[in-house]
Amino acid sequence: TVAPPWTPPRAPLLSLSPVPQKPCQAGLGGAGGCARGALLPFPCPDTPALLCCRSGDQAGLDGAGGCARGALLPFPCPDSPPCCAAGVATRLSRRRVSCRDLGRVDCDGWLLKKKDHVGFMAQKWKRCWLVLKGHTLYWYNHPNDERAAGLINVATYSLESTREQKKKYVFQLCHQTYKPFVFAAETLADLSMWVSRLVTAKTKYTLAHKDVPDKEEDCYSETEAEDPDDETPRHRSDSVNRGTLRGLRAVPSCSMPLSPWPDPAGEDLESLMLCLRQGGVSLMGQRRFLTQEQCRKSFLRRNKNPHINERVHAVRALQSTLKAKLAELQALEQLLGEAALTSDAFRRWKEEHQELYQELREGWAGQQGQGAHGDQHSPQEEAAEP
Amino acid sequence: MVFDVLADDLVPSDLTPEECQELENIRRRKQELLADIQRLKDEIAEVTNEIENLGSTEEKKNMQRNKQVAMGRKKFNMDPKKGIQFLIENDLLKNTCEDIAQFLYKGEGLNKTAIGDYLGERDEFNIQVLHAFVELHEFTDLNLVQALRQFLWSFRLPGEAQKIDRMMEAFAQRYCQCNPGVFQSTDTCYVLSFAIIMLNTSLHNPNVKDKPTAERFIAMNRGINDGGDLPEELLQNLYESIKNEPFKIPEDDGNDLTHTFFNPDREGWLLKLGGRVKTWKRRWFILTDNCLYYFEYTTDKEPRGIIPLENLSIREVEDSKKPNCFELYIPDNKDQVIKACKTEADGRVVEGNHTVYRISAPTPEEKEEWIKCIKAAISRDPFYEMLAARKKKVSSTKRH
Repeated sequence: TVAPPWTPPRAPLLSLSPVPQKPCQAGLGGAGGCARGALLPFPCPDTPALLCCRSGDQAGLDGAGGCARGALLPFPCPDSPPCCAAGVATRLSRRRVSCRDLGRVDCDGWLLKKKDHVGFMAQKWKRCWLVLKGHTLYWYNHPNDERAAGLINVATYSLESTREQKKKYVFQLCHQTYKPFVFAAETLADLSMWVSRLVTAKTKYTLAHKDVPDKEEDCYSETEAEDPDDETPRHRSDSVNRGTLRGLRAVPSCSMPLSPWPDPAGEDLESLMLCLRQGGVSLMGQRRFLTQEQCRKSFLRRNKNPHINERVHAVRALQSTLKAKLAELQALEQLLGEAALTSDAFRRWKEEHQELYQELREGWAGQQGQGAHGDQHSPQEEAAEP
Repeated sequence: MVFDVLADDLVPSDLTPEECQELENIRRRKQELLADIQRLKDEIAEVTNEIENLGSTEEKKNMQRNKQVAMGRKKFNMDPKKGIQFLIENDLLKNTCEDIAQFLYKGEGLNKTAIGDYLGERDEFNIQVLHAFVELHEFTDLNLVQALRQFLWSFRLPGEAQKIDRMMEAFAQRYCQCNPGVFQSTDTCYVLSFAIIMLNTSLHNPNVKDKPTAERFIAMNRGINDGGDLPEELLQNLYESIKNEPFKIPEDDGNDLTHTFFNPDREGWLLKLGGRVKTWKRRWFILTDNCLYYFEYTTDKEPRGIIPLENLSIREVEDSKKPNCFELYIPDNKDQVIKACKTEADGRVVEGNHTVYRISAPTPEEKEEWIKCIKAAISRDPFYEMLAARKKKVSSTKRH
């Protein structure tokens, strides 16, 4: 379907604020089979951490609130009783959804998003992958990210035009209280499409609801930066092939290196390079390891043959242990090689090799504890360090 | 005064009795270590041998020579250098560039990833073999896409930028040699070859959402012919050819042994400062595949933590508690707290805070080595810069 053309308004602002409308008409179809026409995202069994309302007997409630199927719902519907699954989900969890998990969406594509804080001589705009589903607009640094960088409940925002230096096809989402979000499209056609879809989404919402939430977490959510995890407390694991996903891990994605937006007028090969970067692939099309989960899988699965894989890991463990022992040997020789060792020098050596010295002492204490049966052989293949 | 009775001379030593005992224990420990080390080496050899013999199906009743050829090929597929060495030692291959190039070009029983690895090596000899290999390709009267199809099927192009650079340079020279006059310079051929490869990936890889049109492709290649433009028709034809038929690339089916073995850039004990709880913990770090993994024990099969190095920077720092420190950080967000998340046991997602990863090495030398290796791993994809530099060189020789 071709979207109606977007005509820049003569008046400075064209506003589509959420205003109360008459109750919706039954019979509006939605993607999720809701009687009131709202769109339900697809249920996602792998994502326990996401906000999920399980109001079992509320079949027919629209998608933003109670969900009979326990589907992903970023924003609670004001009508539904807030019965969430056990566990407190913070607003961060609503962004923990990948494009893949969103399933069928209303609209997606690349847009430029205006940055809030721009350093000296830095780029003002960032290219993001936008996804509109129901009345939630998600944006990602690139389509393969494990989670969204941010999201907006478009029902709570006004869609307005605006003027931007150097960008022709812009629109913004404004809020009375919170900061606006400004987007720029590459072409008029793109702008038309987005505006039209956003209008549709907002209209559907206002037809289905009486009021519009006001709390910040119900209006938008975003992260400032993505980075590898902090250390997570885990048990020692001995198995090699734990299979693929072990439930959703907390996997923030790495942001793409920021390159200047290729100017369509003077486009060159760097932009072709960017296409590949944003697809997360190398020159020849291999997946690049950008997220923790990808790195983890690449580490664990070296060969399709599980027997070979297990043996390869065994070799790896042996070689690492060998290296550790060689390093320890070197440290000991540094001490034992001294012709006339002084107390001072010994102390210095202990200081320099604190951790090793500590372990040695623990080892000796253990041996003494065993009395006469002091075990001379250190355990096979076990690293010297507890 | 205690005399150190274990030294050759009775040198007066100021060691306390306790210290002497410790020294004695340490000597004993050294003997244990030597035994452990030997045992580990033996075991590694044993398991490696086991892996080499896994998956061998044929060669039951072959003659001695065939058996050796088959063994040579298998060795090559696991480690090309060793395979070639084996074949030469057993008089199955002559130690000349031409002979080895023929062997690789023919490629019988050889894994194309291994061929690519070998041809991409930095050694002078390998480079000569690369040139001999490229000479075996006949590109006369082929258009650039046709030539690339042939070239990129004969081996699997490695991932490292420097290797790609060497191989594509050799290709470009050979192509221009076979087809003089098509391009103003070898550099033009080089840059356009890259453009075509990137085009192929953009158009046919499902992960790439941004697919260029023919017009955009032509626009992107303005000025690469030593400042001038290549004929639009030529670029249009090349575009169509790729669009209609992607490159056939030798597959990495995940079953071959070529990249199965771990071959870390570096590994060793390092101290790591915790994120929220500021304690130093000793971890075994392994740097491999552009990523830093760390373990509690060297024998752990799974890493405890993972630090993908993409987009990170590294710098030396002074720490009040520990010596020889360096940090990994995100360069754009110096003042922002890098938010990380972790999953709690009950599935809750909680925001954590991690500004940087601060690491302490045992000695200044090791710190230097780690920094060097990590830097090399971070910038493993400099071909953005490499391509840009080439292209700049090409465009700057304007001929208006």
